Amino acid sequence: VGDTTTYSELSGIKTRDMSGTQKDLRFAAAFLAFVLICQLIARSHMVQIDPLAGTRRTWTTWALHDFLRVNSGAPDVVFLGSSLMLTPINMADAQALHATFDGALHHESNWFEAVVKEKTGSDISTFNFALPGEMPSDAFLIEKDVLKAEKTPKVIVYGVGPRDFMDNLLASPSSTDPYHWLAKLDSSDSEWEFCGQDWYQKLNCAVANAFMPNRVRLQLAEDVTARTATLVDAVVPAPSGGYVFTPQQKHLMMPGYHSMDVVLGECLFEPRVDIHAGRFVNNLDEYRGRYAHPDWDKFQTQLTFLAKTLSLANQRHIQFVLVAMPITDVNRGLISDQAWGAYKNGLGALARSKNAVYLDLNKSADFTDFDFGDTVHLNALGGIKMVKQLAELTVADPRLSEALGLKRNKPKFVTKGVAVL
Amino acid sequence: LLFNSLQYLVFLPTVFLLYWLLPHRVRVPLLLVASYVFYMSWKPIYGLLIAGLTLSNFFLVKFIASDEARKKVWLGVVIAVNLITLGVFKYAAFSMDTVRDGLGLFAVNWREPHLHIILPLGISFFVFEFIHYAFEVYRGKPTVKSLTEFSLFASFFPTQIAGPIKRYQDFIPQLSIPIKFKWEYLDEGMQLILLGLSKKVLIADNLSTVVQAGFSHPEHFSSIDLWLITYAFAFQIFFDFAGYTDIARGSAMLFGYKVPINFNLPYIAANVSDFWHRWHISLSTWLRDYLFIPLGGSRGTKWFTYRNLFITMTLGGLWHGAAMHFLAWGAYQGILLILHREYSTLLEKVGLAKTLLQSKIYHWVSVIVTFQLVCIGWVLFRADNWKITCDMLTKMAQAPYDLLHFSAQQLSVLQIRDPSIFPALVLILPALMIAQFVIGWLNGRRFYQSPPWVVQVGAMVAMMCLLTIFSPDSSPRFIYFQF
Repeated sequence: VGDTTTYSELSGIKTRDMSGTQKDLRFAAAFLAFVLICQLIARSHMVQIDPLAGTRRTWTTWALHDFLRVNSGAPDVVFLGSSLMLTPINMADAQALHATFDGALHHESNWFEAVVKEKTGSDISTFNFALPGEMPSDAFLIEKDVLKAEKTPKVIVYGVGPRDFMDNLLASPSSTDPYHWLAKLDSSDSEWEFCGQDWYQKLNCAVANAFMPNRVRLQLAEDVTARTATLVDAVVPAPSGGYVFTPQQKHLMMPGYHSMDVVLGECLFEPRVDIHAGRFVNNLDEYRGRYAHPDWDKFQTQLTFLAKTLSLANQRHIQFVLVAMPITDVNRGLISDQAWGAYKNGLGALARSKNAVYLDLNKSADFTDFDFGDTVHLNALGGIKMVKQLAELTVADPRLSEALGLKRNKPKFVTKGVAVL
Repeated sequence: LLFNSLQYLVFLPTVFLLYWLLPHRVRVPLLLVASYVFYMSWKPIYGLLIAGLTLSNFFLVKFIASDEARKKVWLGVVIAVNLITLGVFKYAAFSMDTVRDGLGLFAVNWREPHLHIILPLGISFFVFEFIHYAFEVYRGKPTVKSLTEFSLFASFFPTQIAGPIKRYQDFIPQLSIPIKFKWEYLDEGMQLILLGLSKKVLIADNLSTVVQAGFSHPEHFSSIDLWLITYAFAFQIFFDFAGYTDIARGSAMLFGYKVPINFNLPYIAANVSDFWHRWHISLSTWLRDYLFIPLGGSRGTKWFTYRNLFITMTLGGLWHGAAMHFLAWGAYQGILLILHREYSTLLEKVGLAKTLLQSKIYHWVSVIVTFQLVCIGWVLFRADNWKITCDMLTKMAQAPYDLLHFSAQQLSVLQIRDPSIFPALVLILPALMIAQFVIGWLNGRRFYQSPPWVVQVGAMVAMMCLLTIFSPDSSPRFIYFQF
């Protein structure tokens, strides 16, 4: 400021040579080379695709690791759903069985197994594949690529909530943590379905996949990042004895970075001395953002994925239980009647048409505000009730009990958890 | 649309193909339609805003040219129309908050009305282009005859959202020259676009993680950490904005249009005045031509000049956003410029040996000191509130003491191993700084100005591969979009 140099002189606009006489096709050559490199990488199997090879552990990879590498055979019952399902199942186990469970490692519903055992005398095995943020699109991928062959369960219990269909904070089905890992298992080139709603996203997806399949790209990014980290560790080692940041501090400082990563001991489910003493968290603001201006394309996309999940279960002769998870009245109040109607009618119609067992827990008078930890997630009290209802339904419904080979016993089972109730 | 969005990857090639397939006479209208599609894809209603301002300026400025006797009045009217529009959309809520806070000091409890105003993207940029046009016509330059061409000047999609702030004398004449497609347009344009995307996605977005952590929780970091994090922000905002400008220039070049540069290696500036010749050049020259000079410039006493400098830079700060911290940043820049003038005068008075002032050591020391001063300004610019600003600056002031007792254990950036950008900062920041010097040195070399074909193609392939692998699902918005 203060001199008289003109903007054009400073920026060099007058002097820049743009005669454009060279016809050297630099970009065309570069683009061709790029396409060839992509094809080489995609077709040569240079990239070893393995979602569990890296050191990162998220809710999804912990569950995948347990299911594919630790457990042998198939569980009888698999639970699917988001945190709406994950939280109450784990809290119910902790409370009813008076034990502490690490969320990263605990992938069963011991309370469900116990109630079924009490009702029928039969031992059944369960696996909880409910993951934070899991959408119907993710549930479909889990069923398609994980719950197959010798890992096929007899029954799937899938708990859904309105958020699973109308979450404004989610860009596309491919932006969830489960998709990030499960896409690597999916070799059927079905990425197109996960690209999102609008044709821009679909076109981009088609073009991107033509260059390099998404699973290869994700694995390559993971490998390069890991190698970079190794290199940085070698060149700039961590000094010993310094301040160690807790996972919670890191999540707080970097809310958008690897938010689904979870380490051992980070998320413990512990029994409460007084089950009624839990703190209620008002998360209405968060859900206002999620529900505002329902995106019907998004809604329809997720409903379609749910339909495909049910169809695939039929093909694989898996009995399916679709559960409309309870939410509080204040949370329900954020959803327009039109959206709520579309959600409820959609679930009912799908369950009927696909011959699934449908349990609408919103109609249940058992759940009051005392059963919730916030406006949507059931607490330990609510979790115990919910899992018990699911177990009782499993025993009572002939299709489910037949699939699981259950007999009916007279009630004789009392646990500390029941005593609490 | 955003440059780093999927939509732009579809939009740009479509417009590019249509542009070169159609005859010259329909190319300007095509770009105009494309520019409005680009703008209205965000909020269609705001298409009316840019169209209304374009029409107002186009016709009102004609009065400046035709009504010689009252051209000053007409200039005032044009400026008022533009500034009132900008004020309503950008500063209304801020003004109300300021009044409320002010009344609060006198125990007056006033609840300001809640204004549901969403800031139209790019309004600060195209309003400044309109004001520039009015001033130039007032100063005797010719008006634009074609409404279509004038509309495109204001709405040209590559520069619509975050500049560079164009000059109509440079841009309008290019529209009437019938040009044929040349491969060089594609080569140069795509090279710039890839370079811009790489700056944004590979450098700025990665640094943003560190910056977010440090500026939201400074309590977890030592004084030296905070300096490193501030340096990281200095490079984040530079690569973010320079990346945007490269994409804008590259996009314009695909259509055969030249848009000027906005940055010229700002962090090798040897003083603050030099910095403002290298940083956001289109804004700094605008402020000089249409604010500093009309205020009287340096045509008066020393204190008159300083007053003008201070007002210019403070308002320049406020232009960035309706918030006190931007105002403070602008005032800080004004004070630095004044101090620099005083310092230069003092050196002349003291009669320090010219050889010392021209020595390389003095130059390097000046570059280092200038960079530190600029970085202190970035703390004011980036911090979300006064508490964080004060906490950070207070802690950063302890750095000399901490350096005397330095141990690697002090550095929290070395303790956070994931993401590895934290420990890598100690490698990346010096590398980025050295790169500025190397590019400054290379700028005059023929090899750099016109690298061999293989080098150019190799660089483009490398950028395409890296962008494909590391393209995030949703890259953060460009920082300057908010302004």
